[in-house]
Amino acid sequence: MLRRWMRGSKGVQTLEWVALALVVLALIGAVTAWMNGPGGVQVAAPIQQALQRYAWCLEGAGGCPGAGGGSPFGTNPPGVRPPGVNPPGGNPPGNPPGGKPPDLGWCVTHPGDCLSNLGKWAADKWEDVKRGAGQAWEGLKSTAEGVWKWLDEHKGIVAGVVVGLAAAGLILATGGLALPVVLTALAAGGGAFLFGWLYQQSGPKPGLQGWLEAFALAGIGAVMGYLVAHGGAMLLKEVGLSGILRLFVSKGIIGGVSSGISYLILTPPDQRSWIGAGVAIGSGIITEMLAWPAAKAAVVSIAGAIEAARRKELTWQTPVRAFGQSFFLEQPGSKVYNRVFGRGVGKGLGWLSGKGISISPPNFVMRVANRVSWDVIKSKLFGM
Amino acid sequence: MSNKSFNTRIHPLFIVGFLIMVVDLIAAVYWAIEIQKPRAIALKAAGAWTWWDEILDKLILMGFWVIGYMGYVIQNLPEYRWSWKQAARSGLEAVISGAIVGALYALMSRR
Repeated sequence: MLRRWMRGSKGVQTLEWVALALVVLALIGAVTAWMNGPGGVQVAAPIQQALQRYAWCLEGAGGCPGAGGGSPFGTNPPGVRPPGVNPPGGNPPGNPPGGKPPDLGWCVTHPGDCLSNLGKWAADKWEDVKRGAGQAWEGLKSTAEGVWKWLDEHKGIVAGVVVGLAAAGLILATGGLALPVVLTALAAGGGAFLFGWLYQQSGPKPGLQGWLEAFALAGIGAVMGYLVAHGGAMLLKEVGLSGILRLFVSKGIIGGVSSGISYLILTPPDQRSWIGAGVAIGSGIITEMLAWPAAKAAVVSIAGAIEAARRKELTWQTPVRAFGQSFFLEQPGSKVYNRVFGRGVGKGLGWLSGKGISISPPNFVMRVANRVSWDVIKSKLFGM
Repeated sequence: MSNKSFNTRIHPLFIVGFLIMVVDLIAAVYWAIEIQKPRAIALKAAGAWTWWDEILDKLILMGFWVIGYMGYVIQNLPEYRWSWKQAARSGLEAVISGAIVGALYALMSRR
């Protein structure tokens, strides 16, 4: 029965597995015996030394960069040979120094030593690779730092290249369709930068504030230009030249009168100029002739926002009374004027409050606004 | 605006009112810059410029403003069937928006 089972497929498979297990057991026994003998010591020593070295390095600085090869730790731990150095007792014959792999012929005659040296050679190579990678990384870092420094010192060129590439990319991506838009954007951006530069040249203001003013002024110029051009074209199309003339004599002129005299009243007598009066009158005429109320509101609100931003000493924390004094009544060099009219405004506001008319923002809004003052924004966003 | 048809006949008062506004504006600017400015500079340099001078300066300019507005009202009387009130009301928005624009420009032109 046993013989029949052994001749069957199941019996043969079982016997194969048993034989394989026996072979594995025999191999394990042989390796164990060899490891316990002199050959085993030769194989285990480099592994043990490598482990000791890495443990020592880890204890020293949390890493083991090139231990024994110019490492920051200087030397290997006591009793541990640096990589690439042959064990005491001399270089085995046939094992050339200088990190070369063991000679094949010598390995055949000295299998134990060959295996040991092979491990050392591999460890040396690994250290070389790590050292090389470290040097490459340092080089890369140094190059990147140099590139960053150059970019930092040549922001204008970088911005120009980026804008140029973006513009070219946009034109190419749209097959040339975006050309007019890109050219307009480039002209507007270039004009704004030019204006900002001229503005800074004429009266430099430090840092972000000066450039904010410059761009705000350039913005209002652009918006005004657009509104006038667009509104003018619309008017010309709808009412014709005679209609525009009629609009000027019937509406524009009173806007000009009002704007011009308003300019004269709010400008100190010794600072008035013909050019200033001309600009104010022209602005008043054009604003009044604009066809849409929204356009007028846009012009006025943009101009107001610029003026409010220009007075950087004002924050959300500024009391309404002081804001009113500063916005409408500030007269450089005329403290009497400020005092008299500021007091008048204050009295007026108090009188309105007494009548139940409050022009102050609600307390809730003020509480929120106080937490988000310009100073906070500056410090958080711009580190100023 | 496209639906508004302009009257092709111009009333003489329209021209009179327009001329009042133009002359008033020129006179105001001339007085403020050619007459008042040198005087203010001289008085301020001498330390003789008082807050009363400042107020008087504003009051005179406000007078020019009122005259200009009257010019507008005269100009528009025929169109609003001789109603002073309606003619004046029609120009209120223009006067206010013009005043705001001028005020903002005055504030912006000061550094």
